[in-house]
Amino acid sequence: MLVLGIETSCDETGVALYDLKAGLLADVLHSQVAMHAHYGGVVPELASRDHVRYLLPLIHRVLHQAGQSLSSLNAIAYTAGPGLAGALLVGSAVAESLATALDIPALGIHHLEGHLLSPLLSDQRPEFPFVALLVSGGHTQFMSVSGLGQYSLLGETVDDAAGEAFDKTAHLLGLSYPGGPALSRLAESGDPTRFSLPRPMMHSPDLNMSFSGLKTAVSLLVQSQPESQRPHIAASFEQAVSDLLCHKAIRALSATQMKHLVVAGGVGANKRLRRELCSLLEPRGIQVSFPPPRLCTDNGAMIAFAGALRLAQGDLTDHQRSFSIHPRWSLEEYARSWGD
Amino acid sequence: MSHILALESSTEKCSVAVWVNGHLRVREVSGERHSESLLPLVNTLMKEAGLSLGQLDAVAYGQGPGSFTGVRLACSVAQGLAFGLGIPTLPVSSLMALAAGTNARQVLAVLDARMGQIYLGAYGMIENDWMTLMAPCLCDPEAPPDLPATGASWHLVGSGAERHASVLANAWHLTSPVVLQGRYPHASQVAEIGAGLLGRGQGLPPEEATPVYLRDKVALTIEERQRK
Ligand SMILES: Nc1ncnc2c1ncn2[C@@H]1O[C@H](COP(=O)(O)OP(=O)(O)OP(=O)(O)O)[C@@H](O)[C@H]1O
Ligand SMILES: [Mg+2]
Repeated sequence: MLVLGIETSCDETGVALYDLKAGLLADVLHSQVAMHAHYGGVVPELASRDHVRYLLPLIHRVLHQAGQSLSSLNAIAYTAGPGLAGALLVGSAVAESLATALDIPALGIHHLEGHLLSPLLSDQRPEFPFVALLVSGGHTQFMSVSGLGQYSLLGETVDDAAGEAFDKTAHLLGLSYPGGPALSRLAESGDPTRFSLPRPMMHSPDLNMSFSGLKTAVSLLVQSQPESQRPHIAASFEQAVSDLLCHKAIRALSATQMKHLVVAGGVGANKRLRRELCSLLEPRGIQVSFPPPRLCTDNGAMIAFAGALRLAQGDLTDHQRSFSIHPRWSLEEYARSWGD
Repeated sequence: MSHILALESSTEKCSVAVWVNGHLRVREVSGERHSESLLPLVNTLMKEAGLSLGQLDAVAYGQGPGSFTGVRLACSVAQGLAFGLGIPTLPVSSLMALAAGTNARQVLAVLDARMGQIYLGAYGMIENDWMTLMAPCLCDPEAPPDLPATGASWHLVGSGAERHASVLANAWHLTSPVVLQGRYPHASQVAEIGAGLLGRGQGLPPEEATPVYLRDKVALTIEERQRK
């Protein structure tokens, strides 16, 4: 069972081939980060323009890399939402039309399902059930995952996403967009205990989180401290985010009585967070899994993989050959559409 | 025998057509959500025509200018179908398709480009083929480029012509120009023009199929914002 995966929900064009038996055969990405950096953020129209230019050449490339041809495909999976409407449209239109031409099923996948399942693409593949911590540019959520399509939200950020907090804070520190990776590089030479930053909602009894107050605190520090302090500010910020997420992770695992935490999304590439989650949770008998760092951010592999699992489960949308994109889409709504 | 599927969704009217050796069959819808209707429309049309996708020789599409999302939709669907079927794509200017939908011999095709601007192209019927007399451009209706000097009279057509008729007539010093009403680029003409391209061996591999936007400045860079 060979599935082509297509991801075009935001600023990365990702294409991959996943085989149910042989695993991930090829995975390529065209990142638009450098282009959008000139604008200080993603320009949706430019993102869509790049997707329509790069998508077919990338499909050619994965087929070539894997030594496969179009005729060996069993299905095409694509991100149907949530994301930028114009960007989603390109991937959906190409995927549905290509599947129509090949007379194979096309599967519209939820972007977050892709992220949630991406840790299963790592070598030590975690088993269901687990708690998923999804920390990306647009989301910060704890989810209990008991099987494919069996997701329930345990708690989430009430304001900014953690990745957004990284990006905004990086901006305050004079780092260029997207700031997360740059901030964490700056933090490597800083002392995380130098400044004590607030940890909003850390001790609230639920699993909700808040990150927007952190950037206000950082902005005050940036104004009052000399530039030489910036690595320490970065490190202290990173420590605060990490503490918040670790604390809530422990709470989520004890509330669900689960033994396994799976981390997904771009912020999951953060080294401090990875280190601290492991060192806090493993002694409590909790196993922590991450996707390979390359698959933390948007990619085609997670979409091909989610599509392959859907296909294996026999979840086939009736070949309607019409498609709708869902710029805003809850996982619950999505799961219902599959009858989960 | 040659069979061509044509797609056009650069304006609020979305249409598809199949061309079978000069015979056309069409389907169309108007409204907002072309993305949901385009592919089902193709399937219905093919069924009605008693054709399978495998019989197609090429996929023509209206490549714009027009609605950014609309031209990307037609282009993406053309790319996907043509790639899967192993056949070429045929990009056709939506302005030329608009001109070709008239009975006139010399046409100024003008689409509303929003923000007070227009997309404009000039076309002429020469020996039974539509030729480009002035390449498509984006401009202000008050200051369009000079018209090619052909001597013959011009017909104006399209949403931009309807909206800016008198301003354009003024700018070009046209006395009582004919403005054809209620016309849109249509897949029928995309198919006909596409058939000409295919006949001349001008099909493009699907990965080279691109939309034409004309408006390239869609946002300001950080630097540009700071200079302001
Ligand atoms: N090493 C890192 N440390 C901290 N943050 C990082 C790191 N690498 C990436 N990020 C952050 O991850 C985010 C991007 O992640 P991702 O691509 O998963 O999000 P997204 O796709 O934009 O959002 P969503 O999937 O929620 O729609 C950005 O905010 C970026 O700053
Ligand atoms: Mg993402």
